[in-house]
Amino acid sequence: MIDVVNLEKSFGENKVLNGINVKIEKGDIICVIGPSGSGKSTFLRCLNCMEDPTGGEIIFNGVDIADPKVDINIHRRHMGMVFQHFNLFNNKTVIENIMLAPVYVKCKETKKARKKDRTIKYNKKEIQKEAREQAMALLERIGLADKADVYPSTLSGGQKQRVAIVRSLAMNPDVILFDEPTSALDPEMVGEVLDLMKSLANDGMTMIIVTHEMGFAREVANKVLFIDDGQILESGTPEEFFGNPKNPRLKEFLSKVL
Amino acid sequence: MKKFKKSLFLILALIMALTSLTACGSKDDADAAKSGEAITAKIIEIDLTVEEYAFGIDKTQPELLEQANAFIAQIKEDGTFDDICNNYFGDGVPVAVSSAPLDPNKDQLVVATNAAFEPFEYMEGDYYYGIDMEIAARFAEYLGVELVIQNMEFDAVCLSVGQQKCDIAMAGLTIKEDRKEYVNFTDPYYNAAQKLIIKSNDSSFDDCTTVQDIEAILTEKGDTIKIGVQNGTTGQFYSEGDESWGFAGFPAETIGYKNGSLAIQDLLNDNIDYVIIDSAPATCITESINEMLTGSGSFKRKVDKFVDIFVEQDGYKKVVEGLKNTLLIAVLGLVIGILIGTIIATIRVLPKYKVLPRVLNGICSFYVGLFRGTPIVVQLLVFYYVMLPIMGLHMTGVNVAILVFGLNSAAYISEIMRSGILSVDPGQMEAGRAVGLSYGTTMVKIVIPQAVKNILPTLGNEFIALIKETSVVSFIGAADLYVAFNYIGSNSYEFMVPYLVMAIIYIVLVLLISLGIKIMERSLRKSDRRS
Repeated sequence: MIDVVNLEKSFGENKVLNGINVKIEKGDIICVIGPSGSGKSTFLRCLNCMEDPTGGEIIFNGVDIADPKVDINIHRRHMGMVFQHFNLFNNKTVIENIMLAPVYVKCKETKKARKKDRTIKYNKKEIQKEAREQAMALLERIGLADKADVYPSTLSGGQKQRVAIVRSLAMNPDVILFDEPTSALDPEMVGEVLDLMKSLANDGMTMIIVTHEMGFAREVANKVLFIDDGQILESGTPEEFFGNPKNPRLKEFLSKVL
Repeated sequence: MKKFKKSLFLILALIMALTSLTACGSKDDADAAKSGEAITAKIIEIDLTVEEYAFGIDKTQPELLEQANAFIAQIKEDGTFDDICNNYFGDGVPVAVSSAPLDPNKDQLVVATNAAFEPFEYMEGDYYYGIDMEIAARFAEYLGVELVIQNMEFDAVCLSVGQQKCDIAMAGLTIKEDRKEYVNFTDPYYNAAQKLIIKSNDSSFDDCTTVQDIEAILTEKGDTIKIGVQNGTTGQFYSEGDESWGFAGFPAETIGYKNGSLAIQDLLNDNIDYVIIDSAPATCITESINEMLTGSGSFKRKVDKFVDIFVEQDGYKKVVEGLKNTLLIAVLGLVIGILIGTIIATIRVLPKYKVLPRVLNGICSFYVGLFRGTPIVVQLLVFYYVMLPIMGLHMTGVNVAILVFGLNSAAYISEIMRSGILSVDPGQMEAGRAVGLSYGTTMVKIVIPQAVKNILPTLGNEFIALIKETSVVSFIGAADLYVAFNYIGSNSYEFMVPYLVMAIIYIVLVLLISLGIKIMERSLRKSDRRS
């Protein structure tokens, strides 16, 4: 589904990604680990062009989205992203956070379609109603239906991150990118977020997760990548990755964190 | 309960301010009583100069000049002119003259005047009075056209006829060489004189019998004295010296005022030593001011006079109109400012690795520099008197003021807004982009609402500053609060009460706005509360 070919990224003189090649198939759950400053976050942010790659290709559903001529907004709608610091829209209530993008995109698409085919009806109220029902269903799934109309500032970190995850789910993405989703959470809240991610994994969602949760990686991932100095130094199934690491730097890293 | 306490406090503060002012008034009375008699103004009844009044006509209309000359000859001959003068100097009753609204499609006589020159031109309510105004009414009738009177500063009267904004200047205009550059003068219709006005306790001129005596004394006093005059009138040229008139002038410092009554008021306040103004208005003004000074309870009288003009002579209509214009200019100016300012701010925070954002950013920086680098008065004057004529456009003063204040505040608001946008967590923009919204949509739906919440107090500051800054729009003939109260002041020859009331109105306005901002802030802060 995503084919990363020789991906490079540099900030000025500083070369952060040094030719990354990886193939991601539908249903893959890929955990990316590595020391801080290794480039793993930059790699993830390049996948949906939050950072514009300076070289290489990212073929997503057959289109090279690293090409600046491509309208990246359309492709991002099929790629959810979850941030370390949640980044819920502070000026919107919980349910508005979830509904905003689906309603906006649906309205835009319907209007566009209507230009070609006059028989298509454009009813914003109807679109909003549908989006609200979908959002409520998602909130019920994470047990936060009673928080639908409060502002994010009243939620706990774990609640915020779960809302952020269903916000990206609301767009029915093909893949969700997680950028250290539990690093900013208090320890007792990590569990609830990981549980939600596990249940997504069980549903067959494709996920790419930058994380420090080795236990989670071992349990859920079907492939683990070790990135350092902007390169993938080792990749494999969790069993061989954790059970029999070959790269000396990975060995050193694992001995520190395990 | 808290709110109630607050408003109670405000009302108390206002009452205290007012009573302290009244107290000042009664102290004045006490001083006057101590010195026996209040100091009043008196006129030295010797003509300092003799000059001829005429009307100034648009140079492109020679036929109008002929008609005016014929008309002047006619009213002099049939006694109409003497009748009109009798209405003001004798036992006649002044006749009200009304002005039609300006309409370029109609056949109209557009008269430029400065209606603060009793008895030649002055206003009561919406009506014009005075010798010139009555002549204007009859002249329009004689020509068979509608009369439109445009009231402006005296300095602008000749200029506006020269620029063909008006047909004829009728403003107690003395025939003078340099004015001939702008207008063609008719035959003279009135001989006027300049008179010296001094304080009643000043006896230095008691023995004077001729002009030479007075001039000798004034010259002898050297540069230690100050002489008040009305800007642009003969008195000013006489006092300062002017070759084209053949006036030598005095070594004294000449101080110009907007009108004669302000000059006499300042004389009585001991800020200047003498006043030289036209004799006809001088008589009216001194009588009126002296009447208010003699006897007891002068502050109460001033208030009475103010109330009289405010209520009886429709002064409140002018104030309401002025208030409306002030608010209109400030509110619409703010709206334009916020719109343009937000656009500029958005452009200036764009990522700058492409050419277009860089060029736009340069243009915006130039715009901000231009409008922050020049005073608002200069912008108003340049726009109204330079840009509009060059572009061949006609706009009212109020509309120009709205536009200029909008453009001006946009420059300031853009910087406020930029700091607001920069204060919003960049993660908000990233999250918006990550769900597939464009840069612009994320900006409008997510970032700017949060930025506005952060900058609301500063934005309120800008609005308050804007409200107060509008008091300069009289420069381009827009009638705001200041113009309204100035009108009341020049009609009653008394500025203390009108200016105080004006100050209070501004304070109340600003307090109301602060309250409104507080309420808005509270409702916007909803999303910050943790319960």
